[in-house]
This record gives sequence, C-alpha cells and structure tokens, in this order.
Amino acid sequence: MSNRIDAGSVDEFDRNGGLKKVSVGSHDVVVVRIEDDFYAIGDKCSHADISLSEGDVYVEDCEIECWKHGSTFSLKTGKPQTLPATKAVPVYEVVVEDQRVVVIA
Amino acid sequence: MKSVVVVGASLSGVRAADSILKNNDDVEVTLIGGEAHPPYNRPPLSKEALALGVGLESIKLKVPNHGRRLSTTYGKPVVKHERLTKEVILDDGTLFSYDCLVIATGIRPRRLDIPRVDSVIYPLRTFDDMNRIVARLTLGPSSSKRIVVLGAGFIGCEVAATLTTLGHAVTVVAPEDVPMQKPLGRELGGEIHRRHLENGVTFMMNVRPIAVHTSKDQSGKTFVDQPDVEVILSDATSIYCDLVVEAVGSIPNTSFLDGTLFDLSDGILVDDHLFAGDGVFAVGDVARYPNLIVDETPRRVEHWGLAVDSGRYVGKSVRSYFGGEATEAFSTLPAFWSDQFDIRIQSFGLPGLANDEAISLIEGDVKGDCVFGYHSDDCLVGVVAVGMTKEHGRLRAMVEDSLSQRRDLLQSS
Repeated sequence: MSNRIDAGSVDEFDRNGGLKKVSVGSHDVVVVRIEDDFYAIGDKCSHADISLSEGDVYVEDCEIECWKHGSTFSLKTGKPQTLPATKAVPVYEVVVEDQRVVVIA
Repeated sequence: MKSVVVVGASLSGVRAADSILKNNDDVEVTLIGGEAHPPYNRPPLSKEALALGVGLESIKLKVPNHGRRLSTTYGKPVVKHERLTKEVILDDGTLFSYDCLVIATGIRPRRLDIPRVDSVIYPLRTFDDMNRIVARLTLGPSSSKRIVVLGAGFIGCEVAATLTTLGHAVTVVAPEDVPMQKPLGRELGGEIHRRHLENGVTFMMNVRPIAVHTSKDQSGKTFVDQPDVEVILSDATSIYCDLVVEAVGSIPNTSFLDGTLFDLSDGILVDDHLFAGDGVFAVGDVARYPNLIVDETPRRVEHWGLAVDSGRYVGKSVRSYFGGEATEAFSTLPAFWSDQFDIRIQSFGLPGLANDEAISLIEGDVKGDCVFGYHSDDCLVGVVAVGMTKEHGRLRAMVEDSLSQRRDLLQSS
C-alpha cells in the first residue's frame, strides 16, 4: 500500500525550478518543477545532514545542488553528479491529478 | 550596458558572476580564470577526489546559464590591474575594461624557504596539483609509498588521512605540539592526534623541516624518476620517503594588484559591503573584511562557505554601486567542516579568537562525539563539533545568540 502525499497545486511551483519540501512519513522529500515536469527525490543530502531544498536547481541539467558542500544530484535518478557525495538519494514517483501535485511514496 | 569583470573562476567567482547577473539587469559579466580548467570544487581534492583519483567531471562546479550576458575565459591569469583606467590585463596581453571589478583570486600554497628539490615536493591547491600527486603515487613497483606531509593544519591532516587509508605510510611533520593546534586548541587537537595515531599515521611534532634532498638523483643513471627523498629535520634527524606533500599555509593571490595603492597587507582590504574602492570588490579567501556578526576587525576567512556566501552577496553590493537601492552589510556566521578518517569536524563562529585557556569541552565525551566551546571576553565566539551531525542547526544558533550578546556588550562598554 503506497502513500499518496499532496504537495500542493501545480501553480504553486515556478516552472523554472520551483521547489517545495514535503513530509513523507518520517522523512522529507523535495519536489521540483521544471517546465511541465515534476520530480521528487529524498531531501536529505547523502553526504551530510543537509536539506537539498535549500539549494539551487539547475534547470538545464535537471539537477539540484547541496548548498553546504556543493554536491549536485540528478532529479531523475537521485545519483550524485559531483563529489563529495557518493551515494544516491531515493527517487519518488510524482503525478499530477486535477492540477494537484501528488508524491507516491 | 555596464561591464563587470570577475577575476578568478573559483567557487566565489562563479557565485559572484551569477549573483551579479541575477541582481543587475543591464549588466554583462566576464569571468576570467587563470587555470586551464573550467571551475571546480576544491574540498574533495584532499579527500574523496584524491582517494578515488577522479576526473574533473566529478568535481566540476555548475556555471549557471545566463546566455550571452556571461562570457568566460580560462587558462590565462590576470597579471596587471590598472586602477585609474579600470582595466585588467591577462598574461597574453589581452585587455578587459570594466565598470566594476570583482576579485575572487583566492589563495595559493605557501612554500617553505629551505634548501629543497622542488620536483619531489607536492603542494595541493589545484586539480593539476592533485593529479601530480596521484600520478606519483602510481609510479614505480611498490603500490605503497612512504610520504612525508609537511604541516599539520586541516589540509595536511586531511591528506594524511586520505593517503593512509589508501595504504601509504604517512609521516606528518609540524612545529606545533599537536595537529591543528591553532584553530582547534591543545585539547581537541590532542584528541584528533590520538585518533590519527590509532589509524596508523606517524607524527613528528615540535620539529621543522630544514632541507629536502634527493639522495640518488645526482647519478643520472637510476632512480631519476623515483629518487629516494631525504627530509632533514631541525632536531638533526632525517626521514626517508618517496614524496613530500607541502601543506604549510597559504598566501593570498594579489600580486596583480601591486602598485594600485589598495591595502594588500593580508589579502585585499574591503569594507562591510566587500567594497575596496573605485568600483573594485573582493570575495572569498582573498577578501579581508569586517564581519559585523563578530566585530569590526577585518579578517580573511578561508572557508568554503564564505566563498559561497560572499559571492552570492556581492551582486547586491554591485547593484548599489551602479545606483540601485542600498543593501545591508555582508554578515554571515563563518562555518567550516573537515573530514579525516571517520572523524567529521564542524566549526561555527570564530574559534580562532579564543586563547587556549578559554577553550573547554561543553558537550559529550572527548573520546566520542563532542563539542568544544571557544570563548573571548567571557563570551562564546565559536564551537567545534566532532561528530554530532544532527546538532548543527542548534550549535549554529547557539553561537549566533552568543555573538549577538557579545556585540551588545561591546557596544555598551
């Protein structure tokens, strides 16, 4: 049985890398919008206990950067693209239903 | 259209270029880097990247896309600055005029002024520096090298930890009693010392290197590529090794500003808006600035986070310079981290302001996760945590509160 978490309405997200942190059970997920696509990955950097939602989104590369030490993570795969992080963060399915953004965890 | 030149394609230079373009509409930026590589992130050079021997892709910095408003030139350092005519000149003679200049040239490793054979002594600041070390480590029949690290500061200790983990035999040589004595104090430095020893690092403390020789490179026949290196110490002993890593501090890169009448006594002096005068700003390691969160004394801060924060800030200061709205002074809490073996060290505030007797264990057990407090004028001015990775937000707030009270005290006295 999967959880469905409402992350807000589509319009709340800027098309150019707008993001929001939402709670999924005991942990947080960062939801990012790029154009008409939505992505959701684990919010905690795999290198240190830092919220990725506080970092910058690189729209062209579909990546988010941990502001603390500079690792970038793919929003598609959760894999770190640069050091110091070496482990992937989890990736979650996101769907848009009736103009609501829903994370499936 | 106004023209801004950012000298130094470093972390702070990249962040500065981005913040200038985000905060100023009618501006174009030229980012000039002296190294041949596009911008990259330096902290992994002494840790993960050195351990893995990775390519530039793994540490590259994102340069945000600003289309034609941002142009970049890499591989040619700026060698001269003309303050009156507002120009900078590259080593190939190329000249760039600016309305506003941001200096983000950072620092370079200090080199010991002793009799030495440079070819066996490796500094570590750049990606090329790291690659030279990696190449030397894989040269020759033995996969385990004998390495002397000169200096027991953060870089020296990180390199020692990384190379020991890779299976090399590392000896750290330094004049202090314990590693990182100045920034961390004697007790915590002593504990980190103990943990390094436990992990197999050898230390020669309270000595200085007085010469570095190669014993076999004069023959011209054998071992030319892999000479046996002799490090002679101030106590008249010698250590023999395969290579030497030199990590004995740093020097701000300001020589291109010589003769400009800026205050270059330690980096470039700027005000609390990172402004040096005549349209010139400085960010990152090279800037000596008063951080009003602490006090009015200008200091240089060689932290990764400062490079980010000052770069992100300076776009607003440039906007004010161009006649836009005034911006608040630059003021952020200094913070840094260091990873050595499984030891994660995290600092907030300015622990360096405290004398040794004003440093004390305030939480935890020194042999496990712990927090040391650093005091000045009876106020907490910094903390250093070992482990405690979930507590960073709380520790940061604790130092911010204390510094705020100290400011009130200083102002009222």
